[in-house]
Amino acid sequence: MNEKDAAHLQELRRGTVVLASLLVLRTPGYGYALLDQLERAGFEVGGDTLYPLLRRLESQGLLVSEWNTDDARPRKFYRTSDEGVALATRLAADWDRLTASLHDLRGDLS
Amino acid sequence: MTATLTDRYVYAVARSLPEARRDDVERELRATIADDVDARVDGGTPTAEAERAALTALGDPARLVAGYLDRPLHLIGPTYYLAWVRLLRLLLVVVLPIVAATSVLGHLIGGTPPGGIFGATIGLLISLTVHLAFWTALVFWLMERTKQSANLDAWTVDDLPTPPVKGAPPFSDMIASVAFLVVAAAALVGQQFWSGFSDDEGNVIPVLAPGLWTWGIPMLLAVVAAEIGFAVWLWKAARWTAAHVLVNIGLALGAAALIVFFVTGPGLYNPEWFAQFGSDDEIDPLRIANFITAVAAVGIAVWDSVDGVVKFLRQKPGRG
Repeated sequence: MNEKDAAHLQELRRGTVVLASLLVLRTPGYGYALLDQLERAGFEVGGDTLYPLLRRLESQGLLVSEWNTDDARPRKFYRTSDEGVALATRLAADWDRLTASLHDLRGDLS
Repeated sequence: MTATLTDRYVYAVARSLPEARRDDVERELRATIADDVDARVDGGTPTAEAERAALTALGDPARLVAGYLDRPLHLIGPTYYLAWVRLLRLLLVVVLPIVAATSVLGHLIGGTPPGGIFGATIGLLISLTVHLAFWTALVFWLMERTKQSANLDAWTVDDLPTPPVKGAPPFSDMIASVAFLVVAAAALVGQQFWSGFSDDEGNVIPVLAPGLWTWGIPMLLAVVAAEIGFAVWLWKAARWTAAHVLVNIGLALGAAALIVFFVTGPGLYNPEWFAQFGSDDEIDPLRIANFITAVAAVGIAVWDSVDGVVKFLRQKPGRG
């Protein structure tokens, strides 16, 4: 993949990480596990983007967090708030609408 | 105990964060790195290599910090950088030669040896350069920070800039005005410290009457500040309006009235300074200076007022 392609792909994917995180974290999870899960699901995202993003979503009230010290290794668990779930629903609906629109646009190309 | 790579990495991130968030981010980051290292070890990578690989994957700590801080990591961004450089360059080009010449002249009159003149002038120029760079950067930095929130405000079509009309005040005029006014302000204050003459005890004899410091010089500085504000306002509006014409006249006449009042009343200049030129029964330099100043103040005010009116009238037909 050349550089131009990479830049456009990155542009296209921006924002999908937010939606994916909000959806995944409806079940509480911590940073590394989420990163791992997103990667396996095919979202190419780095820790340097994801970890600050989680804090930003938390400060916006879309995620809530709690330290879990039950394990030997204390971890910060994030969970999608009600507000976050509502946003995720709206974003997902928009995603579906875009998919449909894109499908129409592509027409006989596909 | 030597610091591990993880310790160093976490430290590199934490030290750049605000105190309140440092601990929490640090704890989370440590757990995250440890998780990644474990996963790599489970995958068959030797521990030492796994730590290195995990940190490499996480990337430059500076990028992580930038993400956490979520605010610009620069003093002056692309919006204002060029304007700042242009202004600073212009100020330096205008102000430094004037100050250098004044300083040399002052010391020559004061009888300082050449070596001393050179040293004092260089020192003055360096500190002046630092001051100019610092204060202009501070202003632009403030503009940069306030812009952030301003941009988030609802934009309306009323915010659109007016395209320059024919004969509109150009950017260079604004810069020239501001540069001149800054020099004027510097001169108002500077005459107290570099007047070219000092008394027997080595105290500098200021050019302007020392009594002016109570309110006269502050008033004049306020006028200079108002004129700077006017120059920027005019440039931002990108055209002369009736309001600009009126304010321009008001400022010009106000400044002239102030100066004429000082000259005819309590005295603008320091008689002691003029006494340094020697006394002559026929010619009193102080009287001549007073006369010239008053005439010049009124003349400039009238010219400036008329200039504003003419520019206002001239640009009108250009706008359909």
